[in-house]
Amino acid sequence: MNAVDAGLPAVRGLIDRAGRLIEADARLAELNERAGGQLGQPLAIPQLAALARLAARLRTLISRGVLAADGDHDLALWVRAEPVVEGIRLAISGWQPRQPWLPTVDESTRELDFVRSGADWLWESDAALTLTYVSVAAGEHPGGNLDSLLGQPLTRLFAIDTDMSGDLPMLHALSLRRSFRDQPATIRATGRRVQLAAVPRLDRTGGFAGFIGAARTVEQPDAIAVPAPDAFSSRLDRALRDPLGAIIAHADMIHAHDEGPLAETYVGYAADIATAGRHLIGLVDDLVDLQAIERPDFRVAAEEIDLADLARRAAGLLQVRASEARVRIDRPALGEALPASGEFRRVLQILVNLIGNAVRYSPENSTVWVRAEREGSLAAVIVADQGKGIALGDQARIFEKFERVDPREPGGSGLGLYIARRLARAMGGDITVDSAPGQGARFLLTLPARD
Amino acid sequence: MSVDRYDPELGLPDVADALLRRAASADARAARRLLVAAADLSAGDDERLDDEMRSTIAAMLSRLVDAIEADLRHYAGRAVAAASIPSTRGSLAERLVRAGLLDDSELVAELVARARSEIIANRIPADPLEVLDRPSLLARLANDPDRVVAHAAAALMAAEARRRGTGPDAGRDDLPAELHHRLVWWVAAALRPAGAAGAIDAALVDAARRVLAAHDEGARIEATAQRLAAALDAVEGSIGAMIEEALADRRLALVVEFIAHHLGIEPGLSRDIVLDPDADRLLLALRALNVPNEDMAAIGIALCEADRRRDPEALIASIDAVTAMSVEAARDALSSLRLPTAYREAARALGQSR
Repeated sequence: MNAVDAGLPAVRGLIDRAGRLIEADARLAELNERAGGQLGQPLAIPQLAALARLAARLRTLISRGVLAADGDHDLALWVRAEPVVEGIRLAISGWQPRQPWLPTVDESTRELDFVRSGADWLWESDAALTLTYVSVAAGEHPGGNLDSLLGQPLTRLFAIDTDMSGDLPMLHALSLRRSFRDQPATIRATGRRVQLAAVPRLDRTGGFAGFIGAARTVEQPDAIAVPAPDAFSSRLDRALRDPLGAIIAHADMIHAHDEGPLAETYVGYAADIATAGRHLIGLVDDLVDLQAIERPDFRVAAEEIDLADLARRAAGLLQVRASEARVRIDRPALGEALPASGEFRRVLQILVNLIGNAVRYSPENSTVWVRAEREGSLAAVIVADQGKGIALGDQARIFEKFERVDPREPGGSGLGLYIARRLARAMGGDITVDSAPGQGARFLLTLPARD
Repeated sequence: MSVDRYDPELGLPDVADALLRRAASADARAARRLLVAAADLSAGDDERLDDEMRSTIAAMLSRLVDAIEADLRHYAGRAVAAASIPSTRGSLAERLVRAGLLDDSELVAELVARARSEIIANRIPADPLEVLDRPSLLARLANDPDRVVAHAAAALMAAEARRRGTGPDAGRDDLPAELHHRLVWWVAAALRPAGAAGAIDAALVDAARRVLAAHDEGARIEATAQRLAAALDAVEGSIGAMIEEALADRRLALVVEFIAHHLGIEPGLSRDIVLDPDADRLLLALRALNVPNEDMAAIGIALCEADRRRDPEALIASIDAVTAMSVEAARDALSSLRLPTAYREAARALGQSR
């Protein structure tokens, strides 16, 4: 398969019957001039001239990759030469500079190898999405006679589902003649869930000619062992939160000497137990959130909120913890307002997470700044600290599941930032970070602004 | 152990004996290496297999061998404890090659032709759709109201999926009967453990006989394509357009069988003609079938795009020459090709001996 950049318009040219270049877009005209030719004269780029001659002689459309010299480097071009009444019409795309001594690796071939590696199923379709080839890896259950599905619509084999954002990646890919990954689907015969991926096969004019694809079985927990997420969450709640609450309450009572005088060591132990219990409750909360946001039907409300007010509230909630850590929180001034759209409860959760992290990683006697600002169509809250900062290489990692800003620090489930960003994105916003080691970190929460 | 302790009365010690045996076989290997080097030096660039062909052939051979091995172990396991046929170390196919499997020129010819077809099919550019959302050729034919056509088309698709597939059926029943026959015995012998007892030999021989009896040559791509070409004879009109579409659909086996069927030549010869980088015979065949010039050019160019050994400039010259010829003249030129291959080869050999 040849890589054709479908996104860029092709550069056009016209060669008359005598082989002269009589029309050319700027790019082709310049290339021709650099090769020593000019408009109205024979085409000076030998590879293109040969292709045009071929198309003229055979009176048939020819399209193929051509490597043309341009100065001290080569240009990889995808040339389509079509016989018309006036002569030969050229359409040239690609225009990738290529070092002549480097091996040529076809981008789409590499992608195809990637898609097919480790696949449980291989399949191909034609342009009408008819199944033209299917093969199943040893150890997978085809669920019946696959041969009878050949020549039938692809959807006879796979039931195509929407992905988490309600999209059908395969349809997008089809319309853009691009490859796709992570198209959820179900094998009709067995009910097994799979993820489909494919690269398009393009015809000689760059049009869609079918998919060359693969499917990977999605590991699914046994239906009996794990109930539906809703039930799971509520059971998690009851099973863990209530006993943990009781443990924390008892530990707090001991800590507060409610039951009478106690040796100082035991008071310390009780405080440790309460802290550990709160940490576990936080983890339960995060896991329940994680369950919720990873469900395909997860939705957040679009309420009218005041982001500056929410920033003040979140800062207020963390005031005690900040005082204990001797960190000052500089919050937006009373009366400052920043209208935005989002779910009140979720935005508060995000801000508590961001400011809480900032306080946790701040040195004593430093300040955490919380600012609310309008940035074009976005409302933004900036949370900046004077902590040790986050290295550039770690800035993407900290938003991953079960990753932590500093893995050596105790506490935290490693889910907070992951959940916060997922929530922000579900509300049409985002969370980004910029930081450098030793210079503190600056987290930016953006949400759609309201007027 | 040192050779100093050689005692003529006792004979050579075991270790020295083994060393001499190795030296003798090294001698044979060195001679072979020299032959290979000579052949390689005298080969032209266009005759030498490129890396893609080599790796395709190696993969193909190990699939065929693996499929036979699996069947043999299955059957033999019933007769003797499966554990008594130890699993082989390393690739069985590589071991067979080292032992001279590829001295079988018919097997090599089959593998080379098949690898070349696969590579060309992978590179053939698709044709733009004339009718939007029209299914591809075989998908359409598999739903044809003519049940003979529909069955043959479906069987061809299934055979191609089997040949290219990764599943348990991959590579099974995929050689012509005579080659399959020879390969099964090779694999059975390779599975025989050194110093095997008679029971194991008997089990392997019995298993090989069963594998041979179960072989269904009619399920191969070539056989199903042949059935489809014959079934379509009565249905479709323009052979040129059919060949062009089958080619764009990457069904090379069908192209081969179309030409063989309509020209009345043997499929093996037709395959040679289609895969030959020199397009003269193919163009002659297309001319004899009265294929219009545009179709001929489109078929030739598609093959040029898929096979970098082909020269488009030479193609133009050949098309010019062929179109100057009448259809009857092209048919006459090809008439000798309709004779049985064995007869033609014998005639050629007699001609050379004069």
